[in-house]
Amino acid sequence: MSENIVDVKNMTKQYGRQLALDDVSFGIKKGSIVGLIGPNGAGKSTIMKIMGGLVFPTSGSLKMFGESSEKGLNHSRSRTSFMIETPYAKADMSARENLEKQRRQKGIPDKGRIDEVLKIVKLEDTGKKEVKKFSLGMKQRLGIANALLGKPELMVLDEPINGLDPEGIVEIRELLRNLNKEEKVTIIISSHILSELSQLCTDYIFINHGKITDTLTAEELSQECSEYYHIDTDNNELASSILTKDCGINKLEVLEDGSMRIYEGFDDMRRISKALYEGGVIPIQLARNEVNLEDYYMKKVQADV
Amino acid sequence: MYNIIRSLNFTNRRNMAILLTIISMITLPLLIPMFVLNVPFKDITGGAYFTNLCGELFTIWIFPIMIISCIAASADAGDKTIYYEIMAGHSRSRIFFARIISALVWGVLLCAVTFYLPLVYYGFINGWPVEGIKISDIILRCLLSLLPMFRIAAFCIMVSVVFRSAGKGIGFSYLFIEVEVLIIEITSEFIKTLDKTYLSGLYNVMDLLTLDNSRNFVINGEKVDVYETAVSGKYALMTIAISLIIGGIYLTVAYLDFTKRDRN
Repeated sequence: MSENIVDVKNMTKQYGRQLALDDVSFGIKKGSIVGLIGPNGAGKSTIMKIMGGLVFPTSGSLKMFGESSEKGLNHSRSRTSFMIETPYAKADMSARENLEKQRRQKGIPDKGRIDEVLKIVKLEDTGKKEVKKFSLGMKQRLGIANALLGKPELMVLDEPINGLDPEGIVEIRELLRNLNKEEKVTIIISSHILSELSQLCTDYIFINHGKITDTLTAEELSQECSEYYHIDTDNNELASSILTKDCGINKLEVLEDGSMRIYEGFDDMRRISKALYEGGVIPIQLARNEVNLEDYYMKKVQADV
Repeated sequence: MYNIIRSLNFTNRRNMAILLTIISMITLPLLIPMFVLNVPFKDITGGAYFTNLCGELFTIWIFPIMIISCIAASADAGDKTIYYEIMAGHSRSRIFFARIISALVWGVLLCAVTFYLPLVYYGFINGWPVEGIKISDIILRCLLSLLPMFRIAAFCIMVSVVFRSAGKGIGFSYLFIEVEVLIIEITSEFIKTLDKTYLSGLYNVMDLLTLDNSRNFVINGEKVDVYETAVSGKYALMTIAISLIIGGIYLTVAYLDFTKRDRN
């Protein structure tokens, strides 16, 4: 059984009258890459801020690296790196100066570590350029460099690929994958780019309105993310009736625009097409697809609504 | 805590506002006597600088104290780089005290050194010939003035910590101190002069740096000013006690806000 590196139990956070987290419980296994998924305002950043010590929970408990006392949690935080919301930096200082400030603050004796992390995130040639002149992507890279500075065992990253170009996204994905595989770094990551998370994560936590709505592993997700046929016709209502009554399709989902998804009968598509045609329905689209993380997420969100 | 102070010193040394303030603090004592008071350089003795200028000049020096102590305490709160200190596992208490030490060293000691430095170099270059001024009394007055300066800095630190912004800290501190001075001036008829100096850190410093009891004599046809420089024991003790108590209250409020409030 894998050891949990983070344990959150019955955590609630209230800002005034607003309930940001409502009795949230979950565990993070050591060595995993966990995707924290939810819409804006769902409570993702609040969870990360509580882990980082920026926000105090109203009730509930947090355990990191087996420590739950205030002193113990502070010690755990020294083994963790955080990048929450936007990367914070001194706008009138260079990337190197910003990292030097953090190196001193964290008490990292090795000055050469700054060159290493600048090289990893490809900011080694920025020289004395002030951070205020950086693009969003460069600032994001600086945030990641900062997170890597102390050789953390756990990384908590809020939207780390926000603002990066496609090449940058691939690089950061590979970097995180390597850190996880080679250095055994556990990663908690939130992103709105779900296709990226699906390529990286080993586990997923879905959160909405401050509540955990689902937790599942990548294997469980792949089972959920089954294949389907997307069918759009000139008369979807009639088509739906033909599919259920004449073709015996039970796993049918009607989408908002009226088009349909069928999750069975893939070997019998010739008969289904024929039945539709003979029933007076002209198929406009008949395509084989796969439910991905985005579809799964949308389904979850809609179910909550 | 040592690591945080090192990190803060690294940032403060690179802060343009602090740099410009320090340059101003070094050049003003050279420029004001010559260009504002129209006194030739050779006539600005150490004693003349103290008796004629120090008290009034402090009304300008309150700005460097405000600017530097607010920046040292809370500039990182404005751009949220302070989050990294919390997230790195330093306790909030340690982060707070590191900032207080940095803000007091940069905001009080540095400002006091640049404020009193002209006494030294004008004294060395042009001498110290003001009758009746005891150097030991002046040193005592200068040392005592550090305490109300601490009280002023503590107030600015509190405001900047509560507002989580150096800029707001400077602005609101200035506003509050101006209002305080205005209220004291309006009500000064009803309160004793002695009380007035305790009500405000600014007045307390100005009072310490102003020699009121001067007498004019003509000796051998030459006009001579003679000052009484001694500070009464009661006044010294009250200055120490009130500065430490009120400054301590300001820092306690800042501490509670810093350690108990969410960083959102």
